[in-house]
Amino acid sequence: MDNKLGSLLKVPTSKKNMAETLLRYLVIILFTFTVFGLVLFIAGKNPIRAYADTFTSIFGSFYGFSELWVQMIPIMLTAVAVALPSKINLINVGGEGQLFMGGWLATWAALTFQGLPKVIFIPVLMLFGFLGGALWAAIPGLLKAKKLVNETISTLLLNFIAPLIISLSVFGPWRSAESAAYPQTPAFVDAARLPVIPGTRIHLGFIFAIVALILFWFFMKYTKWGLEIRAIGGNPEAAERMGIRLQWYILIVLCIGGGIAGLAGMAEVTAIHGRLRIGLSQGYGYKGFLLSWITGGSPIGILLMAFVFAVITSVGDTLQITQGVPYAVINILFSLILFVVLAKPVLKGKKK
Amino acid sequence: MRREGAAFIPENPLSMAAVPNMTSQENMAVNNTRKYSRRHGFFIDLDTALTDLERSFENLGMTAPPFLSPIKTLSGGNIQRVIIARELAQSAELIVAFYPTKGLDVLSTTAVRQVLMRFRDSGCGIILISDDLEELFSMSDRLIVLYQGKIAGHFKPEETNMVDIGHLMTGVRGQNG
Repeated sequence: MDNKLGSLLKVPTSKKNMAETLLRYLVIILFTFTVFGLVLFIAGKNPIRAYADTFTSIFGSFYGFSELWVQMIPIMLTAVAVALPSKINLINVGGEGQLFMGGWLATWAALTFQGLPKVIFIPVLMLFGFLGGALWAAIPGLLKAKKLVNETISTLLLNFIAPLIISLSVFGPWRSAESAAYPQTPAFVDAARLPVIPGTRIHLGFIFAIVALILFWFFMKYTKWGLEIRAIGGNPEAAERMGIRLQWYILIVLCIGGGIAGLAGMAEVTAIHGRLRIGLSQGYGYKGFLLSWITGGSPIGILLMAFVFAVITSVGDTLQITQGVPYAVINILFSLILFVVLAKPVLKGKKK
Repeated sequence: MRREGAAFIPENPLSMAAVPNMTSQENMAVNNTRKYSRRHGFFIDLDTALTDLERSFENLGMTAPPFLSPIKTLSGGNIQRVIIARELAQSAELIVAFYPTKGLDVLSTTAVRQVLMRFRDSGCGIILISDDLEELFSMSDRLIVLYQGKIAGHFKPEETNMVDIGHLMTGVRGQNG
């Protein structure tokens, strides 16, 4: 099934395809918001009010608008973490766990190397954040490369282990003495904090995400590795016969994907929280997964849809405040989007 | 295997030797990324790959299909041509060919046979797997007949004839029976 899905969600190649893709995104967005409005209506809420409230909260204030960009950062990174392995037909559901472990190892580095100047400290933290995610993804990578365990299962299950490691650390050895009531590590030193745009929470992670998207696009299009990855994705049997080493690609591609998700975790702890907490991620790994599959792993699609996802997330926040709806209701909206994407081939088939 | 100078022409080139969604040019390049890598792999020299593919088509005297459209959109014969041209574009020490002239017109068939003979004359080992007896008799130095996974007999072509081989192929009788 994933092959069928993959071919239907292909990256657009020509300008006409590009316009078609944009139109498709627009239809997806309109349809889901309409259906979600209906759901709200049935639940006895006023959908128009809800959307209007969201609109004011996003576009009514500079801070509200800036928060959208903050929301986009981790999901763009985790989307790349899913999109890259998907090019060799690997389904990485483990963005969430990889994000946690990136944040975890970056925290270790932040608490260990205190005293480094900022110029050196930030790259060191990036390195450890990347490593944390990459090593976590190496577990399913090795198991898959050795043909032992399917990566979909192992990446998913590791998502449940990573938060436990975070808990163990913040309840145990890393627990701050000052915040006895709340389990978290001590605040990082200033040199370990990612720079932010003053007056907002938009941080350097935005640059990481954009660079990751550009590099992803560049590597797939121009480099030897991109060509070989496309060959594996297109015909693994022939690729192997051409002398491409499948096992190495499986391991390395998953590790790089994990590392990018790890960077998202590093950015969250060092920019947003300034310390390690249990509530490090609000399902960013899963949102990134959805984002990657909706856009078919196209970098520009990820950028555009990440914005839409950020809007949806803020709809959730607004609903929670103004209408007393639990935040979880937003999951209905996200799953609606997935439905629309999955239903698309059926709809298209009927038209012909 | 490929990197040690072996070429392989499989029985079903599209599914076994090509990436269907890629163009012929890309299929040429991806088959030997070591050769076409530039700047340590950060760029792929698709232009040279195309030139090499075109030159190989010229050597084989075959008419070129559109190289820049996805290979899966080409006809079966053209896919076969592209794969043969790709496999025979560089020097090889061993060529394993399954039905290499399947789906080709008379001109291309002759050209492919001639090129294979040229490779043989330059010291390349060729394993030709085919059921076209005429082709086998005209090209082989040694004939090995397989029947139900076992060697049913081996000959020099001049020592035997098509009728005997036919009998061995269909299991009517063994070499000494």
